[in-house]
Amino acid sequence: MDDMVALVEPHIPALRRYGRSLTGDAAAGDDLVQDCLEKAISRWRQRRPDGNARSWLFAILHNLAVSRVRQERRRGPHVHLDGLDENVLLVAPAQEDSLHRRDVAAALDALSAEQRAVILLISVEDLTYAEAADVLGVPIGTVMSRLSRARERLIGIMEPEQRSRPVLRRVK
Amino acid sequence: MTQMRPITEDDIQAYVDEALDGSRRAEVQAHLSDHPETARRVSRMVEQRRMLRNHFTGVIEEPVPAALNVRRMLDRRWTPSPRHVWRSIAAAALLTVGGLAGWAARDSTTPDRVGIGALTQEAFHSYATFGADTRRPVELNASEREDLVRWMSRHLQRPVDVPDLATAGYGFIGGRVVPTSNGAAGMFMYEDRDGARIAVVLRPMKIEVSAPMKEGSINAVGTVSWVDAGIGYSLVGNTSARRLHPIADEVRRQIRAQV
Repeated sequence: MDDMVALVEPHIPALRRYGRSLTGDAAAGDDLVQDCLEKAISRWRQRRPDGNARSWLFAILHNLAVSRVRQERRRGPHVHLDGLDENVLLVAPAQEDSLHRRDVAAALDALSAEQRAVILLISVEDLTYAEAADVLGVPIGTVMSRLSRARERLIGIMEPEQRSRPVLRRVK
Repeated sequence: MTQMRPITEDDIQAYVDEALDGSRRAEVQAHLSDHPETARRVSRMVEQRRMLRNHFTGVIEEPVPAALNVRRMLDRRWTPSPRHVWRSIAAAALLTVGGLAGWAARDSTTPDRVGIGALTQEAFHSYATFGADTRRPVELNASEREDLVRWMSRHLQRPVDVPDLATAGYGFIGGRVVPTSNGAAGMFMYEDRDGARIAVVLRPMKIEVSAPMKEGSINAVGTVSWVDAGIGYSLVGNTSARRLHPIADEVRRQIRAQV
């Protein structure tokens, strides 16, 4: 079990950050991390020994967060991102001209859960696209398109006048 | 010169994330200098990424709360589980029923408070707690054998030594002093190649000076207990008492040889 402690412990600060940024709440985030660690302990033997401990842990945390959101539905109806009308989630812009003055947390909160997850995993947690795909359980292509849309939307939320910039077509 | 691959949206994202290799990065950069609109969009995404990172870096610097201490979680996990508590309750019930009727004594141990029956109960409880502990079954491990022997000898107020059960297929993994209602006892723990554990628990007896080996079982834990020269011994393990018996013979032989 010492190997487990050695492999898990270094990721706890980042797991806390992801838990907090995902839920927008320190206590709720730490609760998620605690559940995640309990699960990691009980499933330690089932994990692939050569696997990536970081994405394994993030996946556990992410799935717990998803099921919790499903249970609570605090953030309103869960909408599937792909094929969604861009304007559905767009909050009415406040009278602000600067990116810096807009609260980052509030902007994140305005994203869908899927967008928030992808942007946090990649922009903040520095997961590779392949790791993020593992954590989210989707193909890399989906990660890329979600990321692109999430960033575009976040720009729109933070600086409404900057929306509708040309987006290059994805080439497979 | 080969035709450059067209710049895709994936390249743009990877550029923002600094995930491109040098040559592709240069190509994207060249593309951006020719496309100011895209360049502006990219710079916003880069700024957005920077802001997000800054916003959440504080969490990383915070000390991790005690509730998220993995070591502690592991320890808590292996301290008496509901099953063990239930076993203790069952054992206590056996004591009561045994006192009233005595029918339980046939397959269990004599439910008395000081004698060999008590020793067996104590050994069972120590084994149920520590034998199932994957994280810290012993306080001092095999490499700390001398410290362990000294510690145990001091508590039991007589020299003790570690029986060697290698011939029976069990390697010594360490031990600890354990509390009982009859004073401190020592526990030596052994493990076979499959990780199955057995333990020898010993303490001075208050009344008996010697008693023959007695087999028993408590909730599928086999026990063989005896008293020799005023010291009570109980060999316990997740196997039948009949299979433990020859190992107990070996323990007794070695201890007698030491005297």
